[in-house]
Amino acid sequence: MMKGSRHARNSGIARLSPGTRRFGLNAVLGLLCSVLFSVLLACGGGGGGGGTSGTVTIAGNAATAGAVLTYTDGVSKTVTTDASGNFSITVPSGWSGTLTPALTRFSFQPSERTFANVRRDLDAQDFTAHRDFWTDTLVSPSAWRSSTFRLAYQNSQCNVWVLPRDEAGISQDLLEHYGDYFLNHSWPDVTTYVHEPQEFFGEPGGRINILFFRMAESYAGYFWNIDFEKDEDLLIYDLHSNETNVFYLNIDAAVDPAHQAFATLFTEGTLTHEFQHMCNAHYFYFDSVGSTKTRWMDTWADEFCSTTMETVFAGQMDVYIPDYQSSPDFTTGASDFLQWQNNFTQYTSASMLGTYLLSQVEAAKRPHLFKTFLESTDSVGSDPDTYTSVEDLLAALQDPQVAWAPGGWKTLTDFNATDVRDDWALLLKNFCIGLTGTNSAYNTYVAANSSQTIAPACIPTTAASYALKPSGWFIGKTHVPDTASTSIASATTSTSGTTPAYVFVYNGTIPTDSDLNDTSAAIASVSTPVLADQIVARPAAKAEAARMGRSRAINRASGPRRETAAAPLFRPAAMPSVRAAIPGDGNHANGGDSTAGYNYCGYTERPE
Amino acid sequence: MTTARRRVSLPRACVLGAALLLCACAPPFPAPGSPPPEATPISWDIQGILRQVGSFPHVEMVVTGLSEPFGQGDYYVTGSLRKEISALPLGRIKVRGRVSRREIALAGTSGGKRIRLEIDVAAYER
Repeated sequence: MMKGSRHARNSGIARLSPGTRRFGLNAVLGLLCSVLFSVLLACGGGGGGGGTSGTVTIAGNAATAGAVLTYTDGVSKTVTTDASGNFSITVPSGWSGTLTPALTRFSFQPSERTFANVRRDLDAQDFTAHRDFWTDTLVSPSAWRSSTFRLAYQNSQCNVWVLPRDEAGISQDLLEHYGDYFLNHSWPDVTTYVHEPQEFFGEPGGRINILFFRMAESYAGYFWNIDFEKDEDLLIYDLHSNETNVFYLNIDAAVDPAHQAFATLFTEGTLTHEFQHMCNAHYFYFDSVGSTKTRWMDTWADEFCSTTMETVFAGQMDVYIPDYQSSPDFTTGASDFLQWQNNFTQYTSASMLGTYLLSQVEAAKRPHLFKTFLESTDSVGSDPDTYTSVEDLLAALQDPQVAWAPGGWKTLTDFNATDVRDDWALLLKNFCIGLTGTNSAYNTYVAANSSQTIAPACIPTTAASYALKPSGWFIGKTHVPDTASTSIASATTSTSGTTPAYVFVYNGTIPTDSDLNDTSAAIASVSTPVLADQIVARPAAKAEAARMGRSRAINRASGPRRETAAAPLFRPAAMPSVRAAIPGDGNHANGGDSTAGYNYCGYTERPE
Repeated sequence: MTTARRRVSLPRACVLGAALLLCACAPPFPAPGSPPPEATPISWDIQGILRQVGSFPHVEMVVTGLSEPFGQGDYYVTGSLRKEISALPLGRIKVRGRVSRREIALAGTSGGKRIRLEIDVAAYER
């Protein structure tokens, strides 16, 4: 909305100097009657005409709506900038005085404009708006600094700020594009599907502040909930708050001259992604006050919401599906996103699972999925053996407002570990079937929301193919009679006479423990032909095996732990003996088919 | 919508209760529901679920406590073991350390406060 005024402002500035000089020549004439003033104008006198009835008009732009400009015309007067930041005052011809803009938390350059003996209309008496923000450049160890940003663009929903030191790296047109994208897409999409903030603070007009500056190159942007807290209360943590609705974007991710179309697409996704984080946090900070909520969303769940929102609404399928189709990381188990490591693979997996779920929900009910997920994060039970965040998602899917109910789905009522485990396994199985092209609803959805296709590229046709590696979808802890069991029905919550174990549900083949520890050779491929409706994944090379090893440390809870002097009361957990040799090697007769049973399941012994 | 869901099976709750009694060798505790003054840490064992919260990259580890001293809630992991604990698989954990409770005022007009429970972990057990 400021776009037009900006151009007017620029053209006005270009006329400012000559007009000022002419004004100086005319000043010696003293008080002129309106007729004489008109004659001067007819002779080329300038940037503006004289006012009527002995008045003149001074106009300009202060870069922001709601700025109050103070001046004295006999008495102190004020004028407030309109929605486009424009202002205009009418004063008697020959007026002298000072025009000073002000707005809470803002500063202006120049800080004031002084006029003497004004005898003709003046335009382009502009100000630029600035504000100090704390930023974290994410460069280790800590790069806190307070910097003065310039307001580059403003519309009804956002302020787009740029750090003057970095602004040569991004064009004004691009900043305006991102501001308009937020207004027209990110705001309505996220507030409709996740949560609409009701608390606006630190910002006149209730706009969201979007800051562009250079941060560490591996980051596209971030939101930080501490901006919802009082700065003075964060001093003990050596942190700072901007005490406003704000998120931060990396100029270097938003600009790529060689591939700007991609950078723009990606940054549109980042706008929606970070705004989802902000709205999500808003819910817990300001809208669940007084409720029974005692915990926040898990990181994976929050990222799941953001990646799905950006994928659905900001065209990020065109970012993620190619990654899914080409990244070798999908053979490594890195798609376990329940423990967030910030792997790009995790973003891909999370976005695809989220879009898959949405594709299975009746269109009219889709706006309820994330809201219900958010509302489900309300408490935690006393059972530490199950991921409560997984329960929350399952509960959301079974909520009547969403009602995604595949065959075999159990209704979660008592949230026992068994039901959660089984339903999560079923969910993942259906997801993977969707990715292999046997779920036409998902393919249709992808085709309708991107230029990508799922089915052709992702149907595994040989033993060397893979579709997805959700191996290591760690569910929780259980007890089993025998950790050699591969039956998911063996899991039990009973502690009597059974062996404590970790349980994993996955699709496909898990290498043996010796395979994982042997990085000198490739892991042998299975020879069983793979059918189109199977999910098969296996490390095929040394490097991938090494990555799998890391993933195992994350997913399988088998990393060694050291007893320390600081922990005299606790024995370190022993290295569990891995008992996850799953027969079948991708043979769908072992349960990996699309029609019956669960996906593969494994148990690993754990210390009690 | 489900609210205030109850996920506690009685036998398990009893087991946890017994475990808490066994941990009663810790220093004197405040009575349930009467938290100690702010910034006055007390030593405590917390049995709960290790979780990640916050959006990347500002992720924090919390132990969602299933036991006292402050009732069920998220205890932010602090101290020298924080990095080590960050690398642990999520799930059940028992931590021992100094617990403190802080009130952080919210920005804006709500006048609300965020209660932040922290535990400076001295030891842990999976």
